[in-house]
Amino acid sequence: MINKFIVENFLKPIAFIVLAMFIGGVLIFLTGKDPVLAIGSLLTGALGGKTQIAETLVKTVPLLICGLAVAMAYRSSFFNIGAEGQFLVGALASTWFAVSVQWPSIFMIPATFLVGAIAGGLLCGVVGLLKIKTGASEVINTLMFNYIAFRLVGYAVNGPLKEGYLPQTASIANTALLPIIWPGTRLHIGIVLAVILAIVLQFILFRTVFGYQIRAVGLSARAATYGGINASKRILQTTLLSGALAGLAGSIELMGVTGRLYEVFSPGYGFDAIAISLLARNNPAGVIVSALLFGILRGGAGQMQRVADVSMVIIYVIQALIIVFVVLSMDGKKGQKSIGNKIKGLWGKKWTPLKGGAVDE
Amino acid sequence: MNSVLLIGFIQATIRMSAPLLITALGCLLAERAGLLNIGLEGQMLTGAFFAYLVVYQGGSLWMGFVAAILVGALMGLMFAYLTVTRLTNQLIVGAAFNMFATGLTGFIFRAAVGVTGTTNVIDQFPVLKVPFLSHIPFLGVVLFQQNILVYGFFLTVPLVWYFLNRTSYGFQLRAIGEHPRAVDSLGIDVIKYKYMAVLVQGAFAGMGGAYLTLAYARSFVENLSAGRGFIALTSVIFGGWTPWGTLAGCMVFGAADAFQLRMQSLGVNIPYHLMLMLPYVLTVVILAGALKKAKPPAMECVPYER
Repeated sequence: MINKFIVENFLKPIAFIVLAMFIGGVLIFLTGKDPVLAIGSLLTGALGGKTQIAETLVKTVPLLICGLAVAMAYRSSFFNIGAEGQFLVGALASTWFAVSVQWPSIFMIPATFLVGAIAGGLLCGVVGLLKIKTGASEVINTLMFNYIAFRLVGYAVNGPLKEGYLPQTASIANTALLPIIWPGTRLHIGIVLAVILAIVLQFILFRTVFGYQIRAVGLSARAATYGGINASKRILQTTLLSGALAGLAGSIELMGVTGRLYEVFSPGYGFDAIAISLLARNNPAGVIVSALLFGILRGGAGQMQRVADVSMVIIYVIQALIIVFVVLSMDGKKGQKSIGNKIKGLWGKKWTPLKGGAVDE
Repeated sequence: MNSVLLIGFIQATIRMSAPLLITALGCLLAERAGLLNIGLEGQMLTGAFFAYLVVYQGGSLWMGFVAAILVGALMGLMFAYLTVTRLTNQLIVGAAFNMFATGLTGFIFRAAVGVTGTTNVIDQFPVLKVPFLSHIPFLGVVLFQQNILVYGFFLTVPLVWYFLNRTSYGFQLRAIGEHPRAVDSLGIDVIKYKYMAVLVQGAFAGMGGAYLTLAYARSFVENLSAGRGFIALTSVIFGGWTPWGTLAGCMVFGAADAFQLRMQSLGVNIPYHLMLMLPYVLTVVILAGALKKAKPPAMECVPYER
């Protein structure tokens, strides 16, 4: 007998990915390219050797932490599609900090983390505050902040933080760099931190009062309020946490991989995070698995583009298909039980379903 | 600012707001039926791409335009199936559509065209001076020396207004956005209305996208739409879910776009990246302020189950 947990958390996600990749393969075939070569080169590019595996794990780190950011927010019914922007401002703030000061590593690394987390947390917290105070949709606002963050980074690396001729900043302080844990590769300590974070968040979400309250608010802010939970406060706290996680992911990417900030710092990790979180059904522990699967997609996409001449943006098609499969599989027949429809009402005060449920009553 | 500059600025404002306007009007219709498709950004992008592709492959401008409409409507149909029939979450599906569009257009672009360059520039809709009217001083230059799509898009505003406020279909559509069960109890096919609304929405977004390649950029780059779909969506909110208000919203954003382009071309020493941030900041500000008085459809984004 197969355990339901295994079906939900391993078999289903893998089946979705395989199906989505199959459709991607058909598309590749339709444009006259070789799908077998494309998917083969994707896999060897991601897992074909020590360097490749390490690189896949390096890419898994930001995906995993951003995925956690989206998952935590989602649990309180806050749809954070701004992880990309929070990731960028986290990296920006950390860069600013780590090119300005140089402390010993033992202080420098936590401080740089903290700066990035605060920046990301504030960016997302503002959106949370706007949602609570004015009812402004977090979906539009987090998206707008993505563009704003992208432009802000562009401004910083072409202006105040520019160093030399290229649009990039100076290298951050050596003491802020994260240690490598697999000699001969770029794999840094971030992967360990990310996995620990996932486990801690899983514990918080399912084994603490705070986590229980977040989930209660996410399931029904109305019921939670009757139960004596301050729903607005919990949502605001979750948005701060969510943004802080994405910001931290930006700091870790900076301190573990790039060492400096430049214009296209993120290849879209924050957007991948949405699919990663949904695929894991917003379970922090499940995010570990789905982030790894997406790490493989990202890790091999470059190789696929070089070898099979298939544009690497096809992984967005695959991700989109995965999202659709997940929401469809959650759906069944009753719409209001579907995963996504926990986010009820968009505008005005309606986000607190004090006014009613999903269907008119 | 002297008068030549002013004329240029207003002309550019109208030119920049046209694609937002048509997309926003479609979005307005769908929203009044209780459907919010944030995938309109992706529909615009896909429309822009297929319009470009058809013309690039030797088709006429109108063939490109029709292709964009069809593609947009097809995406609308898929959205309707997923959210109206299968009752999935509109926001998530919309977000997935945007990703899908980014991937699909970028992927086919590389396979069919290659890389962006001057050789890949296509024709565009020419300026069509309206007889007599275009000779009116100032107004003629500003309003009646545009391309044909601009005229068509702006004339859609009164049409949409008339539809929503003066036809029984329009009344029924609005009622569905407010209280679908009541409409259903009268024997009106709510599901059909919702499908039609999203089909039109998709077709309009496709037109908005076609404008970007056939009347503005004349070429395609990855992610050409650059958030214009979301800005169109915000214009609807800004306009309090009415056609004329939506027009006003689009003009504001078009003006912001035109202003930023003017400033750049005049070489005014304002950092380029901060200028590009303006429309997005404006969106956030408007979203926070505008909602206090505006009345969204009551059943917006809420799935309807019979």
